[in-house]
Amino acid sequence: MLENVVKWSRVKSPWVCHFNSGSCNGCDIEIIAALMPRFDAERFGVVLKGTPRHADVLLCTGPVTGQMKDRLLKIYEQMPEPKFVIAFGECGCSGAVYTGCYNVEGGIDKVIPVDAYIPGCPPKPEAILDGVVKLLTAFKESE
Amino acid sequence: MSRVTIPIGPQHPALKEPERFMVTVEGETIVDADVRIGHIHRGMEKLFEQRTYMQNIHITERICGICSFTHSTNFCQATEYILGVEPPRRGLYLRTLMNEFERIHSHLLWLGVAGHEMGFDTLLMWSWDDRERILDLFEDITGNRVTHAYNTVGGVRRDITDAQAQRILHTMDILEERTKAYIQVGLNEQTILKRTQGVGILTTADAKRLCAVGPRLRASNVKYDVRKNDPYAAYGELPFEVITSDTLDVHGQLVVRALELLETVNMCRYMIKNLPTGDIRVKVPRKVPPGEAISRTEAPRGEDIHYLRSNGTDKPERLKVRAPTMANILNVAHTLKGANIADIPLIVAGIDPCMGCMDRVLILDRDKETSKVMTKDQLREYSIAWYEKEAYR
Amino acid sequence: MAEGLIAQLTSRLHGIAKSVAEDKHSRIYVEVPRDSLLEAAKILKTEYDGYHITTITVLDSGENFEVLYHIVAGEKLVTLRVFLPRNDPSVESLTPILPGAILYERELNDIMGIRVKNHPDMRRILLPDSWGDKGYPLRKDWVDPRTKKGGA
Repeated sequence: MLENVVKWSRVKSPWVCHFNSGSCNGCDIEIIAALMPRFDAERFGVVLKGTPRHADVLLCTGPVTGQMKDRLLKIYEQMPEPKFVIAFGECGCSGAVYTGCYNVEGGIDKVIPVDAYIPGCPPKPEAILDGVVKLLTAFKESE
Repeated sequence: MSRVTIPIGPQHPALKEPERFMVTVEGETIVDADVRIGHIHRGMEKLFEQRTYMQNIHITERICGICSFTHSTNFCQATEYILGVEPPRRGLYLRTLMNEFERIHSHLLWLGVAGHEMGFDTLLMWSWDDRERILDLFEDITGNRVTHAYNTVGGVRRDITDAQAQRILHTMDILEERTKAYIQVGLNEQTILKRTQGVGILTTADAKRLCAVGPRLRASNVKYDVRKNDPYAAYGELPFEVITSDTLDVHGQLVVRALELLETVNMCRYMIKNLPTGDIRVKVPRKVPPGEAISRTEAPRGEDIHYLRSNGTDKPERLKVRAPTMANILNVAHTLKGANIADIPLIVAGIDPCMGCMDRVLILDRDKETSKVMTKDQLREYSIAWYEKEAYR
Repeated sequence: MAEGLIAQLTSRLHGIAKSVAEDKHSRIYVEVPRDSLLEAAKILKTEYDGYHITTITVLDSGENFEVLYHIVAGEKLVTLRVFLPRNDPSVESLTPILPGAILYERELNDIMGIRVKNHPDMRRILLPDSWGDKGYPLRKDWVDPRTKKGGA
């Protein structure tokens, strides 16, 4: 019974924590643009939260820099189970143009497990909406 | 009273980008502030040395996702200085036009973020909705909303058509009207006045001493703008005023940016109406002879400088980039001293750290390999239908 | 004034600077020996309104390092150029004269290993705290310990 309620609320309203692990800002701005009146991801129940302890989904942008690597791990550990990670943008997926830079790990999945990838440099808000809907569908079918 | 040191960041709800402030407070008042940057240091300056000039144009765009066009302009300009080529006038005008578009989008973005930080989210929603209009123009002309790949050494890569020019003029009309509304809001709305007046004061002497740049400098009543004082691209031919404010605080920055928006709208109109005819680019050699050049531009956030040294090959010897936020972060740490804890987000956001009509959403269904264009209303219906098919309802 | 600055600087910095030159895009380059850097910066600041230091660039040119101080003096950008020998890459801090130089001088030390003398606050700025002694990445002979290769 309780499980059903929890699952219902998670599908209805996934809480997302956004974390910039070294991105150039392009992706971060597009995430916020997706929440603004034109695209309005909140119509699918997405709420951007400030703290990872309240979040179901960690939305990571950027190749992981040396300085942010430990921080990313800490944030991931703070999230309650079950947790989902989305690598957002080309750099988050693979490291893209920064592959091989001396201070770059290259891709979120080098550091923490990733559940979904949204490619693009930066992905358009449409792609974000698409990703959100796909993730919600996966939530629902994950039983 | 006992002193407490509070770490703020790098992951913090009020800061969209990672930076860490160590703030020492006595009660509510900040007595000392220290900033640690470098969380996004990726080592790009090393990367530039390993890539060709053509590749570097696209890498410089990715220095910052908001002022991407300024950085690529700067890099192309520096390369042109060394090569000794001058882009055709039409190319220069188009490059300048894009730079001004970027200023509009960045200032509207700032206005929204500042509204958000002062607890006035309505302003955030308004200005970001208006910002979509300029992103539509970007998408129309260059093909992408954020990273444009429009600049190239020797000019720009795409011309604009008459229809696009008409659309630009139409959007400028709407933006002028909206900007005037924002100026009214900014000058009269009590939420804004109470929250920004007297907050984050940086005196003229301090602004000069700490080498502030951009709107932060002009809000401290220093009349300095690279577009005017060291004209590049087509700025020497354009009529515009450098806006300053003598209130020295966050409200002054708001006024400077809002009035700059109006100037920019007028500049864009002037450029479209006086667009020269002819080519948009000249062909340049792949290898660049040995030399050095300094290029400066006025990014939306302030002065941006690139130093380029070439060595005769197709890769640069060294490219040094100084983005405006690096220059401004010093005065933030200074301004925070003596402020309230609650004002931290506003003061930090004040320098703008590097953080509609078309009515459509493109849905790509990879499983079915179909694509369709949705209007805003259809998107609304789609979201309602999405909820209705929920089994848990 | 615009044409005058180069002439004025040439006569004023005579005996201090090794050379004063202007390029096609009206950038002025002044080469100074390491010992007279502070003097030249002081003259620029007090007599030519050069309070704004835009940035500091450092280059690795093999046998020595080249440090460029870009200072806005009046309407022009004046660049002070200093050569440092590779076996003793140290230079006096400009921060007491131009407080805006503080972050850029920390950067010099971080990425190229230039020792800045009399700097008030020399800590890491760009590289992570966990960097340790992996060297100075922007030097041309730097080798990435992860890949055992030079380069990006």
